[in-house]
Amino acid sequence: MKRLWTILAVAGCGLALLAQTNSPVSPKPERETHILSDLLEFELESLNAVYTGNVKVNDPQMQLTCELLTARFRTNNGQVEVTGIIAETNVVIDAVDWEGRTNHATADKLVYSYSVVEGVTNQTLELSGNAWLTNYTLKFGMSAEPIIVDLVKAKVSAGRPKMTMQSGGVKSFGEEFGGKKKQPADTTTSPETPK
Amino acid sequence: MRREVMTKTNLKWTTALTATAVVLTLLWQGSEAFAPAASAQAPQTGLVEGFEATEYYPEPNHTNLRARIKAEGLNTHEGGRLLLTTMHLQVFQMDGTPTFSVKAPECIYDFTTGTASSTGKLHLASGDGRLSVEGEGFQWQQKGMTLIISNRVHTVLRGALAQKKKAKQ
Repeated sequence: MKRLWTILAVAGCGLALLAQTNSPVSPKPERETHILSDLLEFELESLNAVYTGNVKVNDPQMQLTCELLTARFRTNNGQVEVTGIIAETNVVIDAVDWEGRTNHATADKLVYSYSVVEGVTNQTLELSGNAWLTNYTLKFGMSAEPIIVDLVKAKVSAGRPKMTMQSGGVKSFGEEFGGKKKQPADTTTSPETPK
Repeated sequence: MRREVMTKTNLKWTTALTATAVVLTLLWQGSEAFAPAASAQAPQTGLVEGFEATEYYPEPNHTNLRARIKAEGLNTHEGGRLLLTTMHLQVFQMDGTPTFSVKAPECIYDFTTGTASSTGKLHLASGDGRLSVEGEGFQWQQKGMTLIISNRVHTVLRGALAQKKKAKQ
C-alpha cells in the first residue's frame, strides 16, 4: 500500500513539475516565444494562424516540435493574446523547470487553452494520442490518455495511466521527499489517476 | 418592312448601350473595390510615386477602412499587374484601430484578384508590437484578409502567451 502511495506521489509531483515548467514562478514581464516553420497561413481578421512544416517553438520554459500548429489570437484592450494552440503530428515537448529538471513528452496532439470567464482564468494543457511523459531527473516515464495539466491550479489528471520507473529513480526521489523505503528496479504498474 | 428596319436599328442601339453600361459598371466596380489613388495618373510605363489602394468594410460599415496598401513607387508589370516598391499594408479594426502592419521591399499587386505577392522578404507586426512575423515569399489575399508566408517563417511573441495566474476560487 505504501508503495502505491509512493508511486502516486511520484506521478503527481512529476506531472506538477511539467505544469510548472509551462508557467514560471517568476515570469519576466516580456516573455519571448519564437515559432519557426516552413509555411504560415494567417487570417488577419479572425486571427487564426496555421503553421505547417518543421514547426519549432522555442520558449524560455519549453521547446516544442510538430508538423502542424494552429494558434488562435485575440485582441484584448488593443493587446494581442494567444487564446489557444493546437499542435498536431509528432508532437515532442522538452520542458526544463527552474531547478533544471528536464521533462520530455510526446503525443499525437497537444491542445493549449486560455480563457477568462467571469474573472476566473482557465489555462490548460492537454496531451492526447499516444501521450507519453518522461522525467529524466526523477527517472520515470508514464503513458496516459489523456494527460491534462491545469496550469492555473497546478492540478494534473491522467486517464488510464501506466508508469515505468528506472533503477534508482524512485529511490532518489523518495529520499529527496523524505522517503525511506528502497524501491525495486524497473517496476511497471498502473496506478490510479493522480489527484 | 419599315417596322423591321426600325427593330434592327433599335437592337443595335440597345446592344451598344448595354455594352457601354457593362464597361462603365466594371470600371466603376473596379475603382470602388480597390480605389487605387494613383491609377488615374499611372502611365503605361515608368515609375510613379505615391500609390495607395484602400478596402472598406461591407455595408452598413462601408465608411470604415478595412485595409490599405501604400507604396512609395509603382511600375507596370506583365499581365496588367503593378510592381509596388516599399509596400506597406495596414489592417484596421472596425473602430479604426490599426491591428497589423505588413511591410515588404517590393511586391506584385493584381487588381483583378486583389492579391499582392512576392518572393522577397516580408515583415509583419501587430499594432501593440507583441506579435511579429518575418519570412520570405508571401501572398496577400485581400478578399479573405489572409496572408500566406511560404518560406523561413519566424514568429516572435512578446508577452502574448498568458502567464500563470492564480484563480480566485
